[in-house]
Amino acid sequence: MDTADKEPNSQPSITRRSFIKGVIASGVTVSSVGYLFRGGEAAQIQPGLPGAVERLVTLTVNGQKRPVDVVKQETLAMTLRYKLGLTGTKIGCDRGECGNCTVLIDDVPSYSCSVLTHTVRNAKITTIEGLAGSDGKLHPVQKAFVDEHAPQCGFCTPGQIMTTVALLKVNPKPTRAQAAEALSGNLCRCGAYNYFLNAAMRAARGAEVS
Amino acid sequence: MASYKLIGKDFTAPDLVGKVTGKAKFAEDFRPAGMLFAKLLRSPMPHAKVRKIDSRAALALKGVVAIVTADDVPKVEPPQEPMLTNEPLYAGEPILAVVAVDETTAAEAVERIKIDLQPLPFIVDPLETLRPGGPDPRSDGNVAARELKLQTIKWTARDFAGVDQGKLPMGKPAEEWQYGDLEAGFKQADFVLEEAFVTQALSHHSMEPRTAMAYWQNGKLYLHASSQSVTFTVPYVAKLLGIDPAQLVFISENTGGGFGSKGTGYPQMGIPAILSKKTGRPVMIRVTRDEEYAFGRARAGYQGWVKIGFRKDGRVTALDLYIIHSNGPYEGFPDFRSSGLAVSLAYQPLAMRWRGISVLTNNPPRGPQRGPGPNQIAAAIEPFIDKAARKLGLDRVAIRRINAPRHDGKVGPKQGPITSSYLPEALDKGAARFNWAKKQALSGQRKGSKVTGIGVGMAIHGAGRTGFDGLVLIKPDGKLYIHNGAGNLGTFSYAGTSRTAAEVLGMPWDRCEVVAGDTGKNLPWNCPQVGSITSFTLTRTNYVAAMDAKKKLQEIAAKGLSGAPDDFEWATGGFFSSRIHRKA
Repeated sequence: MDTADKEPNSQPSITRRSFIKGVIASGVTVSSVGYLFRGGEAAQIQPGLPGAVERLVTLTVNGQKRPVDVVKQETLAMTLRYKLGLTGTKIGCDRGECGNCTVLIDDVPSYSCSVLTHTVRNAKITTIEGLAGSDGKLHPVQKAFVDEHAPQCGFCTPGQIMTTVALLKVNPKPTRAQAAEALSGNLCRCGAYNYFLNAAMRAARGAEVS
Repeated sequence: MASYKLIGKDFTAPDLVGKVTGKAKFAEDFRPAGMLFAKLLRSPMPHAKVRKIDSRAALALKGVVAIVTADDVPKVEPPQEPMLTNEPLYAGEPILAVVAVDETTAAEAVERIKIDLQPLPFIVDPLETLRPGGPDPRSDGNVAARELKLQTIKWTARDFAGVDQGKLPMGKPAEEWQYGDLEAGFKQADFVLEEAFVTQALSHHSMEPRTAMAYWQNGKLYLHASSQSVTFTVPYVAKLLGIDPAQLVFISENTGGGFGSKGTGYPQMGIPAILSKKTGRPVMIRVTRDEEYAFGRARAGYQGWVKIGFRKDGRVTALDLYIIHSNGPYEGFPDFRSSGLAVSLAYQPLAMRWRGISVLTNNPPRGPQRGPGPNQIAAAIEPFIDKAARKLGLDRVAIRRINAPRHDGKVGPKQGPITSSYLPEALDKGAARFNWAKKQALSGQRKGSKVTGIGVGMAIHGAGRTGFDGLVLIKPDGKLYIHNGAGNLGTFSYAGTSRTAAEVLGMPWDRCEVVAGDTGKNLPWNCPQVGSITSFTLTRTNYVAAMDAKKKLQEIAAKGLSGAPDDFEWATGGFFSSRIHRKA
């Protein structure tokens, strides 16, 4: 057990462990820490301090190597949106509840608001921008979402699609109940759930044909 | 019915591919060069007065650019809601804003500010402030609403006499109306029912928090924000900031849900505009989920009472309704009034009285939510109609049908006319399709842990508005440009209503461009996207605009080719230039 576990306040900066403990202990901590990142003009690099980690990392995002300057407490959602220009990943709650920020990490759907960027340096990250072909051809799940006219406001849609893509990778022929269970971590305030399920089932039927 | 090519037909909305590829841009997705971030210092108390603010340590922090307080923003007339305040009226209300080069710095600066707040009494239950000597939710009054001036009303001890026995106090109302002879109506009744009710307040919580980003360029304010409406949002924001509406370019191409909470503008939209003006740089304020809960609006809740007299056949002879409307600390939204009108319309009582009081509380601000007024009251009253049906031995559809308005239905205190009502037909059709007569038998049947309930309910909703402008352009590229000033909160009605213009002009949909979401693109004055009015309102607007364009083209053809405008008619297909031809 490290000292941070007993005395988190004795650490001069937030470790991943104390960050996660904070996440568990307090929703307030989640929303404030998650929304914050420091970079650019006010960046204060403090190498050599306990807990210091390398800032310049290379992420594999949508098949590309992307070098990026990342602070320790930075979440993947913030890195994607504010450092890599991938604004298709939406932040709805920033506390691991709504699923709007879902991306694939090694093909597993994950809430990018609750993943520290430093922990996915060796992983394959896929965002909504990485699904369509370079010629603009939609991914079968995206096409199914269009054909079913599934989105309403569209804010939760990228997350719904990423979860559906992940589901069909491991279960290409889900039942509607299985699809509903898979999508249960993606909230939609417009209430378009049935349309997302229609789209998931349509995509699954398409996968069956091809 | 006319045979339409586009109206009533399925289509793929122009923004749909953007929504499934992540390319659709919402307010938080824009990144102008040099953009600063703002964070708010919000009240930890539900009611307080700011005694002193010491910002020195915050301003000393590297990266902090500016701080604005309530003293730096335009004042609003109470009970309107300000951008920032020195008398916070609910927990989480913004007191000041810090702008810095990044969010961490802005947040740290907020932490460094020393603020001295004097706690003040607060209330969350409207009855508490109505009691004699009860605390007030704000220092200048306890009752207000839109078109109801801020004032203080206290009820008497006698009004509260029965409260401990569960009787709803009903003292002096702030507003009331009546039509018909209420007393005679109750005398005429075979059964009189008297009930109290409570309806719950609840937050909208759109998936997209109300983030906003602003910058000034060439003397104009460019504001990216999350709003249900586009052109209709401009007057509010301009007034809030004290600028000429012509100075504002409002951009909201995609809005991540609103449900009434982002009907037009709201005070927090103004904060980045003020900060951008002060710093000369673009400013974004990213609203957190917690902040969205605090200032993102909620539906007003009611405590109410109703007395309804029924004839043997179920007809409502008299109805007496009292609503204590929990309105939050500011102007809120007058749900309580539209509830009264909805009841008068839905049940057509032979005589009716409505009384209401809109009480201010130290809850998060209230606003309209999905049928504000008619929906709460339907949820409250409809079970009583069922109860009456049981007492009178009437069918639950029949008791609704006998009261439902026909085309000659009347509404409100003046018993004004309505244009049409198909409620009786709707009940008949619904009952037939549901197989009401047969399915009723299932009601109350138990299967293991599950009990089947069979029910019917009715409610009313207004249909739309008139008096808005359409704008359609035919350009040399042979395309029809349909300018639409509605918002895009996820109903796609901005696109659906635009198709009407294409229909009238016989233009294939793939040769149409819908221009929307940005008042810099010369958008017409269109209705607010609220109250489910857009389809009704803008379908007609765009229809008329296209008719006008058609007429003008006929006039041009007549001038160019000699003849009268009526000599020319339309053919389908091809470019506009080749589509108009002389009648055979």
